[in-house]
Amino acid sequence: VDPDSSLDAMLHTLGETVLGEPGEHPTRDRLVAYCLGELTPQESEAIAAHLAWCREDASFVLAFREVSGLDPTEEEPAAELDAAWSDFVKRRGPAFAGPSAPASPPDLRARGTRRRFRMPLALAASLLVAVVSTAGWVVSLVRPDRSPVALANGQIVDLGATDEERTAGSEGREIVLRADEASLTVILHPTRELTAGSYSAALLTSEGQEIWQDDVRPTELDAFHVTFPRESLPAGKYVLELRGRKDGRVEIVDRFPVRIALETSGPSRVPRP
Amino acid sequence: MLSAPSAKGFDQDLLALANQAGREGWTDATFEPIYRRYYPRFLNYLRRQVSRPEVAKELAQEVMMNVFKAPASFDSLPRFEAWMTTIAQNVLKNHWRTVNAQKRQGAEATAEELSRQGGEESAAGFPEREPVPDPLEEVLRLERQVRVARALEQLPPKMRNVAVLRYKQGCGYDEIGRILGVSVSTVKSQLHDAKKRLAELLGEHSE
Repeated sequence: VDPDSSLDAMLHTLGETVLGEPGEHPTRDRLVAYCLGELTPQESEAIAAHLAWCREDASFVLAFREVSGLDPTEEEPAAELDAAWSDFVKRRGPAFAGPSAPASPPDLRARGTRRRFRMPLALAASLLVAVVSTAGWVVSLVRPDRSPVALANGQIVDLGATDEERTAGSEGREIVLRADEASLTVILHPTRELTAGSYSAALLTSEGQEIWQDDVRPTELDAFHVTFPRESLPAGKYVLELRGRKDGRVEIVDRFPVRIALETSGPSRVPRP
Repeated sequence: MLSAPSAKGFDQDLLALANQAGREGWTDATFEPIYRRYYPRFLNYLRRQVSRPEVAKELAQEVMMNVFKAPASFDSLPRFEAWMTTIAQNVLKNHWRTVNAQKRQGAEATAEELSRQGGEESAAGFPEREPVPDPLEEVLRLERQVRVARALEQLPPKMRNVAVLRYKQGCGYDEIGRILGVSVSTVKSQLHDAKKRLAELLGEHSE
């Protein structure tokens, strides 16, 4: 009989217990610094103690070490890597072949009857471009951006795929915005199946007042990405409401409570997609 | 301590490419070097997470596609890599959600099929409810858990971390070593010491 079998059996009951607290989650920046050996021994010990109990952050550390090359990676044979790249290029389709060449201006000279309008048309076009650009810039200041391209130094927060990940108590997930972060992108994973024809997202204050609303589209993974410029999000409690339209009716698909806090100083953060 | 990856010049080039994409979007020319460096790493990571190699390849392609579709700017390569790491974790989470949903649907379909084929014979062979645990056994089990948890609290931090990762998280020696940044032999040694100390604290074994 293995003399340790009874002890092992007892220790394995830990797998079922909820005892033990992972404590406050460190930022991704702190986890990265831990992996890179940039923390003091005391700081590293604190992170290690957290990782022992926190499966998600331990899993991030394991993955980051592989992705950043801290752990040796099995080399992919060149032929297989070439094949994978070809497959990738085929999958992403011609729509992403690269920035399209500037469109050729219409050949007005060939249209003799319109030649006399060439200068006024050019002026009008220039004016239109100027007006649209200015309007776009003004709108971007007051309206959250839905572009998939996150702004520089923007924080990206995945609100999680489960209720537990999405909320911390009834007040929802706390997001701390650093002073140098220009934007916040949140990734929403609705728990309900997506059956509506179209979707919109609305930002409500804790009093239920709607302060922003726009159409959104699901990604291939049935998630939604919504980007807000920092200035449109003062500190406070909000609810992001995902709504679906089907057969002329609008219904709430999911609600995501969040708390926005503004960090004035302290360690930098890595965006969490 | 651990050190950052070498080839700093190439790293800076990759970061410059990522930031160019953050402004202008990816092109084949800017994305290919990123793909060639990171696809094998994601593949390696995903091979450890899923058993079927073809699924790992599919998920690695999905990760790279998500990176391609959402260019963003970063002030350091580790930040860019941390961002991609989280994308990989999300892809993996979604994969498990899908797999679990398919399993649930499969189980429901099986139950429905058995019920429709009907008859008391087949219905009788399908467990209708979970067996109810013996209350006394349940109390003893909880008591054991509390005792173990209290004993763990008394261990020195390094021993405790190794023991919790092993028995609570179910990690292998290699994983524990990578999480804590120590060698496998150190993990084994600390785990041996932890068990010895726990045995004393739990009164299960005498020296």
